[in-house]
Amino acid sequence: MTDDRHADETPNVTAREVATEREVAAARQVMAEHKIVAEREAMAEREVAMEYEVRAEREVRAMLHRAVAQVQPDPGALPRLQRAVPRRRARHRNVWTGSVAAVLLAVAAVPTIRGVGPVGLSDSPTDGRVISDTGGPGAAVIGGARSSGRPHVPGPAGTGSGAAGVGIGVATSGIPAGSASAAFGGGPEALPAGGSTGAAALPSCARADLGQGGSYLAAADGSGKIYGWFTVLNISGRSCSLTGAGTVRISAVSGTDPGWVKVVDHQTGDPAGGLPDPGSVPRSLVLQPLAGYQVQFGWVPDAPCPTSSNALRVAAPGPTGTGAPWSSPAPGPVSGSGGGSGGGGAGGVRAADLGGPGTATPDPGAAGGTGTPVPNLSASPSPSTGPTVSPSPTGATPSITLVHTPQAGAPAAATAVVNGACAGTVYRAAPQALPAAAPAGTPTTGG
Amino acid sequence: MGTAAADAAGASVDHLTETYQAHYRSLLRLAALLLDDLSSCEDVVQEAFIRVHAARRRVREPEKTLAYLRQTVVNLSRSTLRRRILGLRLLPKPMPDMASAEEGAYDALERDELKAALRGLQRRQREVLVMRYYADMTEAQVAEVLGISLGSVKAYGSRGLAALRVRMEKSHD
Repeated sequence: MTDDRHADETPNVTAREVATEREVAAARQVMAEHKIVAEREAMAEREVAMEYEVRAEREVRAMLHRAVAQVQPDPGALPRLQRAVPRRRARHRNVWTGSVAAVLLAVAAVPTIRGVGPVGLSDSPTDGRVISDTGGPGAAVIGGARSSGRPHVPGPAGTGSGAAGVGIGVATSGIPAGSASAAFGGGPEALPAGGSTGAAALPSCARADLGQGGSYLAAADGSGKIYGWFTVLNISGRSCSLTGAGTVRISAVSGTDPGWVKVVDHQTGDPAGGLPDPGSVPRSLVLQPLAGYQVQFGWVPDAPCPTSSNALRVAAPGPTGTGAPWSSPAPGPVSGSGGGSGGGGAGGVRAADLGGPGTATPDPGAAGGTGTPVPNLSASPSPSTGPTVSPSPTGATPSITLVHTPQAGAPAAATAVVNGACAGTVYRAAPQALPAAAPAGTPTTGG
Repeated sequence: MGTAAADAAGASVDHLTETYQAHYRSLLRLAALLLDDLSSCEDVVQEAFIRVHAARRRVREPEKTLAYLRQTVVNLSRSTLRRRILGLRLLPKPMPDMASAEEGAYDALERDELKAALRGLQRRQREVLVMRYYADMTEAQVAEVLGISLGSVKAYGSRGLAALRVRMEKSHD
């Protein structure tokens, strides 16, 4: 009975629960359907909106295209462009080149202008153009202008031609004041005329523009001929044109008679066949800043010197540091200068006139001892020459001293001493641009 | 050296002709949608060509030439408009009223309405619409050319489109 009741109740409860669940499920379904319908409607709305948007965009697109469909280029448009584009490009290039030139001019002009003012008054190291005194024994103080003899290899042709003792004016004026000046007493006449005079366009090279003169002598060939050359650099910051050949003359002789030696211009067919043909030499040269020219010469002896045993010698401070202060009443500084620079074989200094503040670029100078550096004289050569003043081992050898003076005038830019020369002729060639004109002769050591 | 220069010049002229044939017309029309007189359009597009080709070495990728040209046209159009606004107005040669056989009266009307409507938009909106829907540039490209953000391009575009619609509908009423 109890069982029955119990059994009776249980199905009732279950039935009720089932009914409830069905209702809930139905309700859920209805809700879901509503939701789906709503979503579909929303989606449809969005689609419509999107379609509208797309259609609108398409319409706008079409309208825009239609609106300008009739716009046609001018028939002359392409030819105009073909003319205009290269013109514009050229204009841009000109503007660019012009600005570069202006910058270069400014760089060149500013130190020149600054330098003209305090000539020889200041050797303050705060001046950007004073080169630090690393020249060792070569440094000498002359009348307030510090000069340190350091070799400068003149241009690309300078293999072993470290022109020792090249005086680089490190006074604020940038005047080349070589160490040799010290040997000559450092008189004011030893200095080239004052600061460079700035000129527009392409002026001819003034004497003050030229400096860092050097010389080089090759070994004597089988017949006793000695070829060599002077080099002179444009030490100003501007380009200038070299208008004349300048002079090469014999400034001094020692141990021989001045009447036995002479200087003539080189001609085609003369005995100095190693010199460049006069016809191939240009009339005038344009020297860029730090570019240089070269004056080649050849010594052709008439007869061997009685005292000279075999080869002619070049008296010059060799790489071994042997000072050879020719024609110098005060050999000390020159000897030190030449020796210091020759022995160092490096330490060439670019002209401070370039405007780089205090830039001192070491040059691989007479490295390896292959050069025959000959000191440059910024001074007028002294007439008092004689073997007695020379303490060098070659002192007994007769020699002639050649000086090159640029067209712009005194003082001499470079000096060369041809040792073992007693009687003969110096043939000189016209100036040539430096890089192209270096003879291929192998330089010998000074000893 | 002279030969090389001549070659380079020849190559650039060829490149110029090529670009001209490919893009000049569409760029002119782009300018025509931004400006209101044809001679200014020619001036602007010519200047753009000259600038882009004279500085061609700076345009590294050739496929970017069109982008540079478009950008220059848009910028120059804007400055041309600005110049006009500032009163340095040249006498503008109006767009030719080209109701030709190809173009029906309706089209001419629509064109005038569209141009009037475009002129009524903000400059930015007009630029975005023209670049998006005439030059078929992507939003990202437009953003790059105009130097504005992607979001700004979207905003200018949708607002510009809505404003254009309103104006076009208004002119029909």
